[in-house]
Amino acid sequence: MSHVSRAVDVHPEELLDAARRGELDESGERRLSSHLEHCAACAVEKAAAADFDAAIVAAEGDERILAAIVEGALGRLETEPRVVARASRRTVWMAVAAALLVGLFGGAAAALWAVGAFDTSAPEPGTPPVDQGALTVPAQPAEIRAPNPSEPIPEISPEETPATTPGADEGAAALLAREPTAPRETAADLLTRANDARREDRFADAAALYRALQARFPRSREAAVSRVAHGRLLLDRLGDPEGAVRQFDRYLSTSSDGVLAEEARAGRALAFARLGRTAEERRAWEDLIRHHPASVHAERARRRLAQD
Amino acid sequence: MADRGDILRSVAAVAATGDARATRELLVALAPRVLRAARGVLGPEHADVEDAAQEALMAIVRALPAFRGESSVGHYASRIAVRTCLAARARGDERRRREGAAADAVRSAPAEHEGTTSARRQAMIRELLLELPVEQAEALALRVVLGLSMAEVAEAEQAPVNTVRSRLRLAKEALRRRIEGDPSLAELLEVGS
Repeated sequence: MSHVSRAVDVHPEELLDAARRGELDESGERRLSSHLEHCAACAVEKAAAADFDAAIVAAEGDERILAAIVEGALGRLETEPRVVARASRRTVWMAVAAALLVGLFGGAAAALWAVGAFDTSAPEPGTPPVDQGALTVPAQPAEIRAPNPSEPIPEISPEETPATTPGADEGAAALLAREPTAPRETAADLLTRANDARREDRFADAAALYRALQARFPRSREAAVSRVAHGRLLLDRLGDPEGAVRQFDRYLSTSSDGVLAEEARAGRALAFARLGRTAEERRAWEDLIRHHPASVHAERARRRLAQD
Repeated sequence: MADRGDILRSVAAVAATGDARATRELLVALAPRVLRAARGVLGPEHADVEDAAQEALMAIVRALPAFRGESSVGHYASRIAVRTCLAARARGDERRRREGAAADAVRSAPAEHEGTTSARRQAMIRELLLELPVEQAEALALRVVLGLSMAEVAEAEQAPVNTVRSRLRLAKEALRRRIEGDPSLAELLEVGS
């Protein structure tokens, strides 16, 4: 297609909308093609829209990223004063109704997150409609559960978490001492630094910072989140599956239905596999399937269980 | 039975009162959309994507008391996400300019200019977004990056459709000038490459 670029006062935005949604009829196609031949801006916009659709689709591992940004945002919001809406009589009634809906909605949100099926209001243009059946995923019970009733979770205080990582010997205290502003750091700051270190492949530093966060702010939301990130780091990068199991167990002992519970349960199973503890691995996969039947790890779990 | 939009509107109403559980539910529901906005505006491999997405989620929560329900929660959140990510990108670029360390912080920057035609088109749109007045940039990003229709952009912006049309016309004029000013961009017109 050859394009002659010239200033255009009226762009056929509705035709571009229809084209993006695949709803353009023959007449519309002719009119749009005719416009695109002399409007470079619309031609590039149309092509770029397709580029963005293809380039920023959900990817494997997104559930971890989504969980991290949600937990990070919630953790940071906790540290600042919150301006809230004044609850009018109407708002109170809305809130009562909505609170009931939240109960129905919550578990499904986490489950749908894992399969990338969740959306908010209107479906994203250009994406296939969400299977409404997916919305019927049963909500998880709200009460805290142990990951495996037959296997008591050891109570491990953050201080007891051993520095098993080669290269992390200088420990959290030394790492923090290098930073003159470290004593004023919040839990959110520490989590950010730890995640930055992990992203920059400074795995030993990241592990030390996760330990420091857990020791200094043991009851913070950031510390809870860090246990899953730390567990994956120990498992995937630092060759310490035993330490990883402790981190995942600790997370599940306080956040059995947390947004990272699925990752923690999958991590436990993988760590037991790495340790060759097949009976515990098997129980861990069964635990994952029981709690997260729609998990992205469920297929892998079933395959593994079928091998025995 | 309430549809998901209605449910989310109700969840947002509860979250606006400071309810922690509703706030969490809301952010879980909006996070995929916000992450998409961050990847679109900054580039999928940009080092600041996750930070910008997190900032956007916080901005959405802070803006809840001002939400009057004139648009869907998703579109309201999309607009805030786009605006926050544009600001984060501009701030990050400025910081890197000051520090003279662009290569260290933006893993994707060289590839954006050297990659496929598709990658170059996306990079050009991202650069244009930083140069446009904020209303035009928002309208263009909501439309091209997030795929909202004209009516949806108008709803998100809480502006008449003709106002959005005018903003897009000005944004496209800037795009046309950019293409004319750089002959090497002509290949970006090769649709489907």
